[in-house]
Amino acid sequence: MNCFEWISRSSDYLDGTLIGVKKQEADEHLDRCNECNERYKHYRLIMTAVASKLRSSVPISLQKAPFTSRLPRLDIGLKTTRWGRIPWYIRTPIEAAGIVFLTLTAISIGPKLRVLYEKRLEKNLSDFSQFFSESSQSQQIASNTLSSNGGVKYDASKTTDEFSSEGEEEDTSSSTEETTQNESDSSEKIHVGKADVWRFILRTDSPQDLRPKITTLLKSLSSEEGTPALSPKIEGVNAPGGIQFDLVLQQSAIPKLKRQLFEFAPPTPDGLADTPAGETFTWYKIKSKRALPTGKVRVVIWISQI
Amino acid sequence: MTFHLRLQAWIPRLLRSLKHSRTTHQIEEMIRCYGDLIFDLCESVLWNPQNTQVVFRIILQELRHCLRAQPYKTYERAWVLRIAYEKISFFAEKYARRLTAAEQIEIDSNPNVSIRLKNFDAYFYRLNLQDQILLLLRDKYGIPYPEISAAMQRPEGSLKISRQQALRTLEEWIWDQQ
Repeated sequence: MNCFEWISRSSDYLDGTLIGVKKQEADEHLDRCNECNERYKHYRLIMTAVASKLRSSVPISLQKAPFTSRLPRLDIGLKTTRWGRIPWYIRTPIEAAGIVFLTLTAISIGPKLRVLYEKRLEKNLSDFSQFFSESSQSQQIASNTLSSNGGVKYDASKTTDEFSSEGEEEDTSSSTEETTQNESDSSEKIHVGKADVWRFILRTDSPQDLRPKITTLLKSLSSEEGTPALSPKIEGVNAPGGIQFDLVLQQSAIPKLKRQLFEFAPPTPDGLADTPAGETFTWYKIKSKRALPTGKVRVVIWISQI
Repeated sequence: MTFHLRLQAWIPRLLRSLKHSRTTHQIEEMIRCYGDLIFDLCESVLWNPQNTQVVFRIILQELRHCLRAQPYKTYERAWVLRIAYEKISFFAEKYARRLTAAEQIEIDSNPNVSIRLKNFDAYFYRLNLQDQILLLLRDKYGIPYPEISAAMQRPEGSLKISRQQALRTLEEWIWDQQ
């Protein structure tokens, strides 16, 4: 018998149920093999330790009344809290009252929270609109600066009237009532989403020839109307495919501008008179959400290179 | 006629009471014969005297229920052990005490074999539940393999191999780590 065989039969050997030749072989192997002998002694010690474990008997109370005697609760490892030790007839009403109180509180607080949420939304919207109006005003301040540099006349009193909301805002930023009043004033003068944008398109093979003519025209119109140019360059901006002018003019200047541009437009090429390609001068008007002072329009002139 | 009807109503009651008394008598007899064995098995596995009483009563209730279902069954130790084994396994999975990692490390840190043998219980409860019950039934109570086999619903050969492996595992934990 080798070690593996002895181990596989060790259970029977320990129980004493191994008999005959097998028992003799196991004994001989234990005499020869120190390792298995040690293991056998260890197993014996373990079995003795298991057998000598303390024995307990059924408590007398359980013996006498196995189904009716009072037993401790099942210990599931949870510690009972001080609240859990309060008698149920006190604890339960308090818990019920707490649940009712929490429910009523939630019901009453819900609408208030909703009002607060709506107020916050309104505040965000008002902040946004204020920011929007400030951005348009700052743009117009830039135009004012341009007018002073470019020699274009500008009515200071009119400017003050138009942009009075900004000055007042700076002075009375802490006063909510005055700010609201300023907003209402500015809303009377500025029609967001109703500003007219006139777009004129000229098609020519030599945009640079038309450029000085249009610049002169715009300067004359600006000086007449006392309105600054929206674009920093009243001479126009070179862009891929042509030259663009971007201005803010009085509404009354549009007919004259239209007439002059029609005169500047080159003649229609032969054979293209009734086709879209033959239109050397077109114009259209759109509405813009960009805020503009009342009575003013934005003019965009595009000289397209054919 | 009236007497006849009353008798008809009483007969089932009488039979029920007789059946109940018979069951109670059987339970008392079971407690007398195997009560200590089952109670000690519960305590040895659960390692918690508080839960032991509860689980012991649950085992008795289950035995009573089985006896009522089959009132003329001749109860045997293997049958009692099987019910006890099922209930103990169920509760031991949930509520048996287990050593924390810190306790295990503390026990393993001592290389002295004699001290380890003194803390034999700590090593014993590291075994899986089936091995624990097997060693207890075989080596502590000396129950023969056929009964253990009937109780644990496993073949004898499997039980012998499990026992040998459990012994070897314990030996490795106690002696081979030094």
